[in-house]
Amino acid sequence: MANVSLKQVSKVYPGGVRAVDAVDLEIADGEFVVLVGPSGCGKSTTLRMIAGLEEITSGTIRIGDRVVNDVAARDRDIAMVFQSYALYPHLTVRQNLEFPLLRRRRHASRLRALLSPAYAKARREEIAAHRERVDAAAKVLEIESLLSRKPKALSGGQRQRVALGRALVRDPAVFLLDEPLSNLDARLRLEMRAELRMLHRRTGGTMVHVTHDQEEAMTLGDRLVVMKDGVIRQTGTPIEIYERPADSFVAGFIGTPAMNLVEGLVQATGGNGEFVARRGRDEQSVAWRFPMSATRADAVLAGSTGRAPRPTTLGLRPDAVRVLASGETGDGGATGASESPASEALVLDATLEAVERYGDRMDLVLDANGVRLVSRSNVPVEVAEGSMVRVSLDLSKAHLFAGDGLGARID
Amino acid sequence: MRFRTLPPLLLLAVASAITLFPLWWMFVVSLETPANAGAAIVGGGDVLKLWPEVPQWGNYAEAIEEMGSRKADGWGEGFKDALANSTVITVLVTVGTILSSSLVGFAFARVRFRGRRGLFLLMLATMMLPPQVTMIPLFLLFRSLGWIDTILPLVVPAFFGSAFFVFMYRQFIAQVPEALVEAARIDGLGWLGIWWRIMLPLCRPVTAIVAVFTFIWTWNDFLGPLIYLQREESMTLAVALNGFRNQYGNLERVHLLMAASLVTMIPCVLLFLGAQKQFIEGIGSGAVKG
Repeated sequence: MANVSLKQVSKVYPGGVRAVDAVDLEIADGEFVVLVGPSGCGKSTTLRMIAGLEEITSGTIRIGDRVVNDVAARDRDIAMVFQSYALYPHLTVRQNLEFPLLRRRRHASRLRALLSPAYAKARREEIAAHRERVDAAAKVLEIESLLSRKPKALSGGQRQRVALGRALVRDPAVFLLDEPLSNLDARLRLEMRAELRMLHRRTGGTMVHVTHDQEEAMTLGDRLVVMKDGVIRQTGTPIEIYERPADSFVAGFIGTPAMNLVEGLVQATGGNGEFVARRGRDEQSVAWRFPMSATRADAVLAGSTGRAPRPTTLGLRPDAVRVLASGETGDGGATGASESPASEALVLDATLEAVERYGDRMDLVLDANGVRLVSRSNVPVEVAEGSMVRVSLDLSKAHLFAGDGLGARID
Repeated sequence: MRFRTLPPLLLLAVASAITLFPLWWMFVVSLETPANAGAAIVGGGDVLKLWPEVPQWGNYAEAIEEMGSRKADGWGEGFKDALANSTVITVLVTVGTILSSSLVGFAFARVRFRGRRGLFLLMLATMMLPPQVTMIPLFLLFRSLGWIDTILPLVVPAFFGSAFFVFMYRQFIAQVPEALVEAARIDGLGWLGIWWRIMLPLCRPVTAIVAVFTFIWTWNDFLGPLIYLQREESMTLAVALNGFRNQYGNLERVHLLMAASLVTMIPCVLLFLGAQKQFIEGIGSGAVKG
């Protein structure tokens, strides 16, 4: 097992496309790190550079204390699991599992075994030891009964297990997993996700996992690395990233349903400030406004010259948006809003556009005067689609992001 | 049988009968008496006989005895020589063609190198050259190497690939998922290892086609051995058959020619039947799908 370290690693393709841009990343020994981001964000390229399948344009990659920039993939002591499984179709499951060990045999020569009894003995022992390793891996993954089959005769889940097994038998310094679950159906994916966690606990191996599925990333990783356009946007534990997203991209990407991001601007009003929500794309049209404490407004306006109104994005998780039962006023009440100052809750009228029921909870899609909001409710809301409701926004849980292209978090 | 399948079946049966008829006719003539065989050729007798009155099975023994140059050394010695020569040349050429064409096809499909595209086009362009054009320069080349009257001019070029088969291998290998190659690289294989341990086994359907065609072409090749092999002992079966015709140009011995031709065909037919399953497997199963 080993740690992995990336320093200022970039990948520029011949056409000039900068797929990965000056990535710095430290992965500790035994850590389960998930690289997550939308397709084309450079996460797979980063993984492939660690694997040695892709040359790096600049920077340094270390595995353990060895710089591996110019080390061939086979000598990096890594194992990789591919999205397409990449099982050798002409070999049985056992042969597939053995395959990575064949190149590592130190007593491989049949000829020398014929000439020297000592060598023959060592060779037999080595073969037996490798056989045992294959059997052990097959046992862990519960694929013992499949060992004599060809990949063609396996289901998707079984193929995935074999692919994991092939990585496992090598006992590598680092496991690299490139979207290993995305070819499985939803149910199997959940099952294999739990199994991956378990596998990580059992082996204690350093694992780097790539996925575009933020839910998978949240549930699997000790630590997430959120990437976009070849740049790391935020690194942290799932909870850190969920609770304090570094920018509006991360805020919108992590969490299901996605965080509500409301475009608008913050401006000073007398001693305090207010957030003015914009209606759709129209800069001039005001959907609604709410007052802000002076300290919060100051934090935002500190970033603009002469306290001029500053474009800002307001982020609210769906559980901070609550549809009120008829007669409920919105301040105080059951959500614990009593702890926050009354001025930090905003009650709005909205149209209920759609309802998504999950049995134990429901997601409500709302239109609050031209601003689309999604609310998550753990209690049933008995309102017909299309009707008007009153909505309470818990602004104590609001995130503020700069309204420019980067959307950096403002505290 | 469903009614819908009947018309196509009838059509296929008629087509097969037309295709198979010459073969059957060869077989019938090979069993005829010399007089009847001659009559079947020039007409005047029963040309389209479906079965001889008295099958002359002894024609086959006689045909084998008459073949080749070493009739005097005992029964079938000349035939054995020609058979051995044909076998050695055909096996070497087939193996050489498979190894070299798959290796080159693999390189064109998977290894990125400068000038890959240009070289590939150049290789394809060689297919446009009619062999008659290169015949004399090649002969001069091999003569200057001192290879005349050895099998080298027939065998060695096969180990340098055949443009068409390189193309076939390249197209097939290009469809193999890249991840398979990458997995093999991580598992410790170099380019040669990937070719030998991954690609060649995966290319079995292509290899079956290449093997059958190369075998049949080489086995039946007449011009090559005729040009380069000048001693009678080094004759191949195809050339030996021709010797037959010259010797018995008079048509009363055509029954022996037919018998010898049929014997010569046997290995090709067997190979084709054996490889049929591979052909079908190659088309039917997603052999490449990881």
